[in-house]
Amino acid sequence: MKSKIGLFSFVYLWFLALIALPLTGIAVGAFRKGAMEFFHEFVQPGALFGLKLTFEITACAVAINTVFGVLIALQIAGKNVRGWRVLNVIVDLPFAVSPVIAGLALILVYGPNTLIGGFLQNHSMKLMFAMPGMVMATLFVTLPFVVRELVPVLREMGNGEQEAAMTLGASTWRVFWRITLPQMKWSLLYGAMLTVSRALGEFGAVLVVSGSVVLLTQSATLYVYQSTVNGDMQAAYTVSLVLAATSFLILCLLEGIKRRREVAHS
Amino acid sequence: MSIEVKNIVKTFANDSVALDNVSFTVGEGKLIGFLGPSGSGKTTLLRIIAGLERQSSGQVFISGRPVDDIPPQKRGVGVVFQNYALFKHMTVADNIAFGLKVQKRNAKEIHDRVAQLLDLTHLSAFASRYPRQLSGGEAQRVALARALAPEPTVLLLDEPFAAIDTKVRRELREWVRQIHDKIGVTSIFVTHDQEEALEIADRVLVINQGKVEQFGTPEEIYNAPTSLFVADFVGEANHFRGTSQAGKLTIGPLSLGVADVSDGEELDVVVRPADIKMREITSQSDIVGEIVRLSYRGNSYLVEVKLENGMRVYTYAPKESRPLYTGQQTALDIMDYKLFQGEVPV
Repeated sequence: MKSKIGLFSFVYLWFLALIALPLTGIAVGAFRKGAMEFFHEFVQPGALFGLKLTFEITACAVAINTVFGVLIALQIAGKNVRGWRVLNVIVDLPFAVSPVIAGLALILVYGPNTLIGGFLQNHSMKLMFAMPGMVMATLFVTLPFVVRELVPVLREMGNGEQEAAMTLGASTWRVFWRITLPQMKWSLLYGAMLTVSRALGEFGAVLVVSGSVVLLTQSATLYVYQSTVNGDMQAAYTVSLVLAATSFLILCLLEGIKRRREVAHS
Repeated sequence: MSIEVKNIVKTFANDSVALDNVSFTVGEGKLIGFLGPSGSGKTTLLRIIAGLERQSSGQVFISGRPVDDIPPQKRGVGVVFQNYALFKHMTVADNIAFGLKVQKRNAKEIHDRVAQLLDLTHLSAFASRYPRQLSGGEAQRVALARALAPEPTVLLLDEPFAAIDTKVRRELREWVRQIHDKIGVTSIFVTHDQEEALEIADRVLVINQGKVEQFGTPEEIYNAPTSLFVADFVGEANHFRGTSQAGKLTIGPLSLGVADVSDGEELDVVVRPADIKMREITSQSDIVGEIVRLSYRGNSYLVEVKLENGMRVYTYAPKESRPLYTGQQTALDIMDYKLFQGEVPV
């Protein structure tokens, strides 16, 4: 009994030191000079621009990775492409590779001084050091979430219902919308939400491909970092709190989705 | 509608042969059973007819029309899957209505047809339930109603009763036969249960290792098997092997006439338990054995008799026959038997 209490206290202490205290620190830091100062920092052009850019990048990343995540998951689960095993491993690559390296890799392929990047630039399309590159970096980093959520669900679902629907005359498209999607929607939403929270907080990959130019390619996390470097802690705390609060909201949503999903699968 | 299957061959990527030159024709309105051990290729054959799998070569015709390039959506084939494959997120009524909605029938028509099928399958009380709230037998009936709803020209059932307990299974298969007779849709069902196949099918296609062993009425399959496999697989059977000598085949104490076979041939003998009669020992020349086991079968006993040379023979004894007990000595008369040389009947 005693050792149990000891263990519990240790866990709580650990939790406090690692998560609760730093989070409280941000909230306190953001409001230490009052709500007016918080608001003042919030409406700074750099802060507003960074947050707006981050949300835009996140929206793009979620939209694209939801669609492609579903496609990739269908291929892996259906085992109907050659090399689905390889695909299955590649999808996890972003978990294994540091985001900074991912960003660097993108520069090496699509940067202005490369074959592809140069070609695109000649046709006035700028990928790197611009928003499209930041979206690409975020896409890379968040690729696994939707896929990893869907593959087990699709595997469990099997082919039976899809085949049944086909013999009843339903087109592939209809089978997807009426049979496959309704059964995986909660898992899809869960994966999409994970993608959102990861995309909001992405730093390394985005830093490398953006160049962090103020009011041009400086997203919220980059703004926080820049402010810290500049010693402008109030600005850093303010934007951090907004990001953290958004993530907390998503966390609550995730909890709700998780429950729905468990009901749907029981 | 009639179904014609011509020289179907199916090989898988690893070069294993699932179906080897399968041909047969099913007349309109018939109920056909595909019977074979698991892995014999019967389900693959069904899936090829449904269009869910593509044959390596050969052709399938439905009412005279080649359907090989027609996708499953357009074949007009209703399928009842082994594990029902009901749409988990839809109610029973929505499951049944699915095929009708695909056909874009009007709401009134869909409603009436669903009600009609719920009634036919005795499911009216379950219309708003979800598949997870159904028993195996109920789910099976929903699957059947769903497959029948769009009025398919052909109905295919893959091991339709495999996952249902014995009593319900018996009721259900009789009921499927009744529904079939009522609607008259040409139907094929796959089974590994010979009792099931013999009981409800008009004709049975026996498949083994991707080849058709025999295609005939249940009576033909049972009484006149055209291969050793069919004789052994369908019905209970005693199976012996011996060498012919002077027009006789002697296996232990058994001596069977084999007039048309030259000496020294290896022969297989299949004897149905029903073709072996037990009686009291009356003479020195009787085939004599000892009863070693009696299994109660409701209206008869399955009797295991050990012959003098240690060979085991199975026979039936009616319940009201003279009292039997293990250890009892009995004489056996072999009334009928079937001879095979290799796989071919003699």
